[in-house]
Amino acid sequence: MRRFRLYTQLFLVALLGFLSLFILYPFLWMVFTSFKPPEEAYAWPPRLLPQEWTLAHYQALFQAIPVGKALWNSLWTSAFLATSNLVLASLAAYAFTRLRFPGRELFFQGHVLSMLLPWQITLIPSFLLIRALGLVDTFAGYLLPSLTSGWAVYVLGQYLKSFPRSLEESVLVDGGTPYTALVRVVLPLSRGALAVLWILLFLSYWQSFIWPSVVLSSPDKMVLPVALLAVQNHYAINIPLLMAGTTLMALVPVLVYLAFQRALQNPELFSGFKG
Amino acid sequence: MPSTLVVAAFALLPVGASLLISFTDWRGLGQPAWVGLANYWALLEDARFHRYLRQTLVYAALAVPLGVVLPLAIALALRNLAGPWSLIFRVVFYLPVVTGVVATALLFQALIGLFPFNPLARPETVLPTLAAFSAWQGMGGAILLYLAGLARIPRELYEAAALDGAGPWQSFRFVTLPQILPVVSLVLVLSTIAAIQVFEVVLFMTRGGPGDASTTVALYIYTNAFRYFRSGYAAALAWVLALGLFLLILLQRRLERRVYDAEV
Repeated sequence: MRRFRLYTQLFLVALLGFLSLFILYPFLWMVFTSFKPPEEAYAWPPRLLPQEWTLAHYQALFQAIPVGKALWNSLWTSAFLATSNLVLASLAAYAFTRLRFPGRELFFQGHVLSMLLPWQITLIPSFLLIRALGLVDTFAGYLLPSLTSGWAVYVLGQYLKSFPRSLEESVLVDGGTPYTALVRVVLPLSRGALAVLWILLFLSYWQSFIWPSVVLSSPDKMVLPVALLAVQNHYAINIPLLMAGTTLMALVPVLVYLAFQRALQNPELFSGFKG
Repeated sequence: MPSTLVVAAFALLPVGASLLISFTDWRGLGQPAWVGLANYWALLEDARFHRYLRQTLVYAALAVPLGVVLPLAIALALRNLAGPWSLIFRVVFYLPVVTGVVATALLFQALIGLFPFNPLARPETVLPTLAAFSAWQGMGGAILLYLAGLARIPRELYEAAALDGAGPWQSFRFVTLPQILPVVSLVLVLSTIAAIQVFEVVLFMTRGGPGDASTTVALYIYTNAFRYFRSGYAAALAWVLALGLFLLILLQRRLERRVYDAEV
């Protein structure tokens, strides 16, 4: 490999810098357009910076449509699901990697299989099941099927396989149960990995659209992606209003990503299993 | 175990249920009647389904190669780049992935709408535009996988190649390429799965339009199930799509093995 050759370096920086423009420009355009008065927003060719800054679109967004409510719904449901996934999946993953019980392999394979299933197949029966339980248009109906996921169990299982058992053995020798070993030893020592997983789960539930769009129908129960689709339906031509909405939607994950960028650069966790 | 219960109830049980539903005429309410294979026969004759299937395949044929090759090229460039630049670009290329499909699709739909010529509004250009958008949006994930794969290639292989007098192209052709092939095949599978099931991109950018020029099978399933309430028919469509996808991936694996044998 020819590293650090000056011309190669300059060429690569120029090339990648050029490609980056295709990413940075749309993002900057989105943010700035959300502050532009309407007459500026539709100009062609588009100007990046607004000449006159206005917060009117953000005000309209919170007044006309319950976007504030949707923002709050997205925040708490994503945090709730990330937490419940972590709790249930760590119990399950610990059992799968440390305990022996009949059907262990079968149950674990069931979890793996569940993350490979296309959503088209599970969506209709899941909806019918939630309807039979009388949970349509309730948050319980949205949250229940997502309390845990095959993905979280699988990732934590892989992690625990490499976790040194000797650390737990002292607890077990002292007469502790596997449960105390998990809660007293394994989980406290895995804080870093668990935090990364929590963030990844939060970000993925922040994006979830299909299931909440099917289960939650009343306007005050919308999550942000569903609310943005409604905004697009009603105000398709109001570009700055729409861009105010997408800026809000993008803000949370981008800030989280930039803050935890180093910790999140783990390709094993990011490999795109999560839909 | 609570986790197993949830997974069983909302992932595994529905598989069986959806297979059963696909043999009924259920419209979501009332008593479903067993109709045997009628839904599957109807699907063979459904001209709309055939058109949407063709459109899905055209989209995939454009999106998958872009999504496999472009990130590999960028990862190779990043790999040869020194310190801080590499990190900065990695963060930039990952931005669309963290932002997610919904916000970026809305953003592009609005930005493209300003163009004097709107490629999303023409039947001939809409699928290539959607495919290009998806490749743009998902690039970061594949770049990360490729970078991890490239980092695992032992340095000695390059040193040995250099000793044998290999130039940059030859060391790419005979060291990097064979070593990175498993990652290429992983990215290929992941992007095929994503492309065949494409849904949010289409919904947020075109609603399947203009007319139905960009309606894909997944969108048709969703519409059938939750707009027309034809649960039985939608379940049959879902099974055909899933089996088709499964066969497509088996076929890819076959072809890959042949390429791999020729390579090594």
